[in-house]
Amino acid sequence: MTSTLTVTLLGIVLIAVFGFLGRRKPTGDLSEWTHGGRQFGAMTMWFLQAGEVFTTFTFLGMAGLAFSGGVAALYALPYIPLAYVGLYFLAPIIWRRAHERGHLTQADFLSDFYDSRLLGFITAVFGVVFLLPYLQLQITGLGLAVQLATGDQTSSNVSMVIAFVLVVAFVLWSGIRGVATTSYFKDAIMLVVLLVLVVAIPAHFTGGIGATFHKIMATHPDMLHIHSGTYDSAWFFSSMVASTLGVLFMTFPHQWPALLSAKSPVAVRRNYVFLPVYSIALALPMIIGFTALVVLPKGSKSNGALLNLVHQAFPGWFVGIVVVATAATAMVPAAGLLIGMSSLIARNIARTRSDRSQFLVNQGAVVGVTALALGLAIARPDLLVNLLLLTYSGLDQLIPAIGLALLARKLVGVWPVMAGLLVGELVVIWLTFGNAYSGHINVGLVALVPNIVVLLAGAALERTIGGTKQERVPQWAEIEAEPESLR
Amino acid sequence: MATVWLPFVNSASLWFGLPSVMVWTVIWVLAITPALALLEFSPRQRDADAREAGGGPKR
Repeated sequence: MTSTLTVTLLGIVLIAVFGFLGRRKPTGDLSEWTHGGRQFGAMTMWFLQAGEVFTTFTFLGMAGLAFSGGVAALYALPYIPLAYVGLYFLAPIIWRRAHERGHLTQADFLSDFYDSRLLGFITAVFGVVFLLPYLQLQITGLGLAVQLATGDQTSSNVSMVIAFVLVVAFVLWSGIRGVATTSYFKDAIMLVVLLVLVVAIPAHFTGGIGATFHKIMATHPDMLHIHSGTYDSAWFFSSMVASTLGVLFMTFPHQWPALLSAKSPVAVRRNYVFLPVYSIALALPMIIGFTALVVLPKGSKSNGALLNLVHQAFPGWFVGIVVVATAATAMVPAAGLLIGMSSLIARNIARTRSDRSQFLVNQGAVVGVTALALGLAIARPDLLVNLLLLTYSGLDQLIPAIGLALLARKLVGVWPVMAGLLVGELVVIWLTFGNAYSGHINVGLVALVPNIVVLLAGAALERTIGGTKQERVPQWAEIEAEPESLR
Repeated sequence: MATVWLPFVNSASLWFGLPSVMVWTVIWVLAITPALALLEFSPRQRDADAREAGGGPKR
């Protein structure tokens, strides 16, 4: 066994140990398992939500995108902080309502507001289907890192299996508390590794960061500005808008457990004040990607750019540490994804008769979903690749439903919302797989237009036939004022 | 968000040895935290939090 593989496997086990430390005894309560008793302060929330931002895509993909698209990759830097500006105001509203009404999932929130279990079921199914390829991406990202570092496919497969069996184990044991404790380790190792790499890699290959960009200026000036081509202005702007709206309206089901685990709206808000600073770290792998531009031959695999340079510049044991950091950016977000998906299955898809059976379904879903994603990652790694194209655009179609549900009054009934959602999803699928669209504007944004048009037409029809009751959603002050017996 | 339409930013140029688009984006992202901090730590927000702690938010 090489030093790289030894360090990698030890690191993977260490990550899992941090996960198990999240809880002393396992719980049988789904709310406690999913939200940690809603007791997390701003610091824990910060790591939990930062954990969702920095995935294997961030670590390997951002370097790869800078390598292939130049500064166009920077669309990914401001969209999350921009969404945080809006979430500073919206997230406390979600937290308060979810806290009062006992919501555990995104689908709980929607089905309660629109008073429709069917809508909850449909959004939960979309959530699970669209997140499954995202989960697989974390697994294949870890496998790719090991393969690039060791040059051995068997080591890659073994590492994927060991890592994700351990993820399942610590998620079953600790729930979101395990995600929180592993997040501390993940962010620490990831930041240290990125800081070392961003200084050492340019220094090793080109003489420094400044020298790297002067070389790019001389040899690839097109990579320093956004111009016509695949990554043009329309692509840059629409990708940023679609991604910002997706995060702002909490369309990713795995965003919800982290938010709902906060102990107060103050913890929620404080988190959004300070998270944007952390997002700047996204620029670090991009700088490494730019270095790859002047070092690696044209046609090199973009996702392997960072590890390719690491392999050339560092000894085996340090390559192992970099792979451990990559593994952490796969395992920790995967754990968060599993909590988001399993709770949707247990709460909104499966029909259960008791809290105990709901919890058992949840635990079974953690195992089943991971087994499916892991099996596909090893046996058919390309099967879900196309589905991944739908993840962001497909989840963006929830924006109108969630946006309207944030209002104090129900302005539109469930049927227009559901019709708009289904039309939006069909348009996304048609544009993505039907060869019907060759533009560079983000597909999710394009599909939002018919989604909203159908919703508005449905709302107008509903008003015409007199079916809409503009019900008010009870506000905090009113709920507080209610006698306990009425709640 | 307007980065791509600002010719002095979206050009093949370097500011402080880094791509102008990168420096511009990082500056604006860094500006978000002090802007939100001004709101968060304002006397108005403190009063609102105090009212909420005393019996639900008055929004």
